[in-house]
Amino acid sequence: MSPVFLFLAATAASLLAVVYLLYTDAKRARVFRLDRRMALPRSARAGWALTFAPGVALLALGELSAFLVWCGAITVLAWLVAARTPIRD
Amino acid sequence: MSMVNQATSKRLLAVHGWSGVLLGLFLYVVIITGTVAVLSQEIGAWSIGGARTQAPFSQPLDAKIKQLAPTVDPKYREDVTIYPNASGTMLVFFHTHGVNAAGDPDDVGVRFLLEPGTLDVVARDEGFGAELPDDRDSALDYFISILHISLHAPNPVGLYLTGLAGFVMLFAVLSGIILHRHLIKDLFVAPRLSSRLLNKRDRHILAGSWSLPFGFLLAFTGTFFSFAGAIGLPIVAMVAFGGDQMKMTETLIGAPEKVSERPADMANLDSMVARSVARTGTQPTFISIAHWGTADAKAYLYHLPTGKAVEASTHVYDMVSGRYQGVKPDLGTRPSLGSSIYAWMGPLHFGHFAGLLSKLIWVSLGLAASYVTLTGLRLWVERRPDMVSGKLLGIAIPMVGYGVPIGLAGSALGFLLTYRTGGSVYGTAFGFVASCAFAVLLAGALVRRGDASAIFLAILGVAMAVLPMVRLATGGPGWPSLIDAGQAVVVMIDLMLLAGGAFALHQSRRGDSIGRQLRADQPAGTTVPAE
Repeated sequence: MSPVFLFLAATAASLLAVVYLLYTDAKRARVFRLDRRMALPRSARAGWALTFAPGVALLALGELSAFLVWCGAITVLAWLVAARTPIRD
Repeated sequence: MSMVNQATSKRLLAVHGWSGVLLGLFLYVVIITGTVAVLSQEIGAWSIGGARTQAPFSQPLDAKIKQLAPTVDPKYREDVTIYPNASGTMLVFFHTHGVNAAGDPDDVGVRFLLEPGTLDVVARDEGFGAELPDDRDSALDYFISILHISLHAPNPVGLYLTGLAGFVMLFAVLSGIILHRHLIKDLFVAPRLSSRLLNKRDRHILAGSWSLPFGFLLAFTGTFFSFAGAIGLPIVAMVAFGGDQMKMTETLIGAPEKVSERPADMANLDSMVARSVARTGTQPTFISIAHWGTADAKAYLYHLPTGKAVEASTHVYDMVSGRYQGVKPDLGTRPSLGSSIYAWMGPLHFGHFAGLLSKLIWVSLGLAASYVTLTGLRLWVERRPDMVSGKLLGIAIPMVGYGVPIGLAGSALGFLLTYRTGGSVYGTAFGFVASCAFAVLLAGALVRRGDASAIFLAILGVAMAVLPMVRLATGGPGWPSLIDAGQAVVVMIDLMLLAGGAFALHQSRRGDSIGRQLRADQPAGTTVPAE
């Protein structure tokens, strides 16, 4: 598999985990008075583990350059996702 | 939980804020120019409408260099450097080492410029490196790179200044970690809308929190590059080698090998390039040949990282037998942890280890760091609306924050308008200075308006959007011919400029409507804080 494909797959997987963390974040829900009672079950540890797992997989495969690009991409994308003001439920 | 008590936290916050106020705009200049400089190679290709050859080292260089070597003074054959500029023109510099008129160590010799494709000599210049005519094809990318590296200040002052900016950024990152008690808890809290102050605080903290790891990385590697040569190595020489710089150099790089003066025929350089390309999968970006024409001549072929690797590599060939001699470590004479760490510094700072993909990610990281710097300054202003320093900074933030990007667009405009006349080196510098002067005058003219961000943004948007059209109007090739010629990177820069321009114009309209509404809501004479 090419490093670009690995990077894209890892970033997509991590971004999904970030979106899960964002959606289930208690402080965000409290600050913006979001009603998430019907939302996904909340498990921050699992969310963070899923976020970092693709990075660990890239390291295990020895894909150092894809790992570094993934690190950079996920911090920027996570910031852009988190910075969006949520829509009230 | 906070890492320090409340009093220390308060003092640290004051130092964090004031160091930002005093040096934050300067830091921003270094970051934003660095962000643009990540794409300097692509900008260079864009500025001259695409390189005229995709594989400059795959041209028959061997015969040409063997033809040129006898035409230069034998002392200049001590070293030969070969590299392409933005257009694909090969620069071949036969040189030795001396001290120039300014008293600085410098290379001195004969430099040839070879036409891409034909390899005909288009220029021959002799003298010290600092005195040779500037390369007009690479005027724009060179200008931007040096602006980031040393702010075009004389050495070593420029390096000290950018190194200082790196230290400021390191301090801001570390103090930010200590100050922000709920770093993890607040990672997903979007900027709150309940008040302007809180909104600005949240924006700064959110962007800063996500940017922390790479902010630290970029600041550390940047400081290393600024200070390693200018201060670090002399200190190491003083402390560890009793001031003996030669001894230190021998330890770090290896003792100079004894060189035979015995003349020898040189092996085929083209064959070495072909084997190196096959070995690494990439074209070399730079070749250096030591002791040309002697029995101890060696060629060093420098390749950017490829595949899984992050670090660049230098492959050594014997110039007499043509045999491959292995990879040369960046530091020392054999592979070591120190050499590996050193080899990682460049890729981590420049982001060029995975081609265009990593460069684009590094650009976004640079933009994030610029955003953190500016939002931090805006937050400081928002907290001090009645202080003179707050008002002055409120004027300076848009002036510098948008003025520098406008200056960079101005330098590109200056390059495009003067390239065909041969005056691109001066045109680029003039474009930058004139655009920055315009930004200062505009800030002065708008001083009574309060925040002028929307106007600056609109000007920046227009300047960016106009550049692709100016490139076409000044004889640059169109998109179909660029794609046919394999120069899609020029199209990509055009699209980035158009998208960036459209975004800036959109934001300026949005910012202006906020500004108008606020001015209408506030009593006359109240300044509208920077948005």
